[in-house]
Amino acid sequence: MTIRDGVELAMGNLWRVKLRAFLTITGVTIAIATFISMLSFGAGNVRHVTKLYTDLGLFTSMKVYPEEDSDSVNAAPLDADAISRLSKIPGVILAFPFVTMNVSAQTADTLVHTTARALPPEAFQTKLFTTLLDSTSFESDTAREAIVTHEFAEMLGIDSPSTLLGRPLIVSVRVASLDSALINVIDNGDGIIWKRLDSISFDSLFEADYRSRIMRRELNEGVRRFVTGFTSRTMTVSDTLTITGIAANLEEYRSRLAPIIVPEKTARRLTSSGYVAGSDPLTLLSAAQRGSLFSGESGRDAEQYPQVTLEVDPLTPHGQIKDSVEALGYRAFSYAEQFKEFQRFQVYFFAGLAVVGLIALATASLGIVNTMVMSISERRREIGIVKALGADELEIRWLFLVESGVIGALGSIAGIFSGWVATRIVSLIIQAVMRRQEMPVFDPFDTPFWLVILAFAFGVGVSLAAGLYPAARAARVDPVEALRSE
Amino acid sequence: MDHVTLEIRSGEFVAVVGASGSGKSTLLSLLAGLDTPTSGSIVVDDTNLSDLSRRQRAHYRAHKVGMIFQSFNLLPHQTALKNVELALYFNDVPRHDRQRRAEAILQRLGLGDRLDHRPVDLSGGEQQRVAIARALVKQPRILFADEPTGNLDHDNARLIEETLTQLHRDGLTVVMVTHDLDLAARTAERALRMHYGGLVLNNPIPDTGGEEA
Repeated sequence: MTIRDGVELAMGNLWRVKLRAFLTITGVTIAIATFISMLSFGAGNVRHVTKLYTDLGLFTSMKVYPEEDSDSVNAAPLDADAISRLSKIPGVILAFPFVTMNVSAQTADTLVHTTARALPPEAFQTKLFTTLLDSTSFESDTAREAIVTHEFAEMLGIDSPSTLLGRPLIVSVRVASLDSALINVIDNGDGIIWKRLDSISFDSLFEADYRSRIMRRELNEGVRRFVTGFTSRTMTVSDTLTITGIAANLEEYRSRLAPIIVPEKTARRLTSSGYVAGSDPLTLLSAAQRGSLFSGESGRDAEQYPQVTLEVDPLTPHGQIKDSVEALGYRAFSYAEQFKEFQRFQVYFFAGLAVVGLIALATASLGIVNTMVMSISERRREIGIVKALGADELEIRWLFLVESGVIGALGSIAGIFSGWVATRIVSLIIQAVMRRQEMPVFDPFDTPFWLVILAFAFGVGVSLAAGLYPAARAARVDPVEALRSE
Repeated sequence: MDHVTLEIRSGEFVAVVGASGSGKSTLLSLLAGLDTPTSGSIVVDDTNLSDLSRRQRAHYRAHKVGMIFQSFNLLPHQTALKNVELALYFNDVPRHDRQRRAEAILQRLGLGDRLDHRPVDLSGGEQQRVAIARALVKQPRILFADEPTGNLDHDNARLIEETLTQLHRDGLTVVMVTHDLDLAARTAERALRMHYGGLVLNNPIPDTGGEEA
């Protein structure tokens, strides 16, 4: 007997008990629909994350941070020297710092307070920024140009960001300088230092205790005046830039860009006269600790960065690069390693979703067992006839297994289709909600071909497994007794 | 059944008669390879059926044995043609040959216009002829008939009787179980009488010159 014969007989037998067969197949359909929609959800999320990583080139990107230490001042500084050392690590293609600053930006009559990110030319060579900045770049690292995001246009109340192209943008930065701090030590504006000199008893200076007390008092006062002067006596530095580009409107990646992007050296011109107001005071303390507070004209030589981005060779093991970074005294974060973690998580995630689908399938398989066992009771005489005609036990077993398999195959095909339709409907609803909530919109379901094959294989496989017992029972039917039965 | 010894020659028509429960049908089941004796042996063409595995016995039924029953035992949901074809599913006959052979045998038995009819649409005699066609389509060595006319009216019974007689004349070995002594006398060359599982009468076998079955 051929497979075709078996399938034909099975189809004929199922057709005889249409309602029962329909209900049993419906059970498998629901189970497979559950299975495929669950795993489609998992696959959709995996696809989304993978696309995010691929689009942004994160598989070849690594972040470096200063070591988190209770004594932060002693941590290795993430400064220009550090970037130079990091860029020499084997496997590192590029290293550039993460520099942001608080700015006031004015175009036309609208003034907004926001943040700007300074990008070095190296950044434009990375896939991340090529994608984020929609392949736009600056004419040079010193160009008086700016790229703005859709978010910036929203701040200005402009619906069409492209209308900003070519417009002048006045960027202002509040800068605190060491000069202003030092001036405040000497003179706070009312000449009080002279009065304080008057209050000192010169005769008593010959007494050590008195000298020590006076010195401590003056040092405390000096530091207080220095810090007060540094934080309050700020000046505003402005430059007029031209908006030359609009960043890609990728909502899900918005957090990776500041609303305004400027060339690194253009940013330096704005801040070269001192420390940007609002910057981390630890920068100042760190510079003081290293003895480089007054070494530069404005202290920028001592500038430290909160983060450095490494563009790495995909062929070099990330663990090796990470070890080298950590050996230099920094913390490294590898997106590729994070993705591996994600993959580990997704195995459990998939397994969890698959279990739900399999529970449904197990329930449906009980329906198949029930249908087939009933079928044996009803077709006992038929089994006897077929055995009398020469069918052996294997062929009887095969006939019943094919029947279970046909139930599974029909149920699986219907289940795959209905599961896919269900995911499309739910996806449309979810995307509508995402839009309403102003969330990044993506399709949370994906039904790849391998999943279709897997669902079909599971459906047929579980159905065949469910048919094993009834088939064995049918094969054991005694033909003599079966032919006697009415 | 106990202490039954008999020999059936090839091409012989043997009738097995006896009261209900005498063991006629059991004897038929044993000879047809549907059942196995707890002791003793059944030898067909030098093969001891008792030595065969279940699979080999199925092969024996598929290739050497044709069976017809009192209640016809046709599959009610299949057409006459499909019922006959079914016998060839287990006989290694290629798909395209099956239908041709089934059609040919049904036409030979006068059912050429009833190929697509289901058993429920056929008369008792027609159903039994379909059953005979199903038994013959695989060209068996022996035809076992268990009360083949038991459920038929007089005319149809005569028709089946003639068919069986003709098959015997054509050289087929026929073993028929029947209550009808007249039928046995009219058709068979030899009668075996069963009584409480034993063989109590075995008419002499005329010398047909046939080989041993």
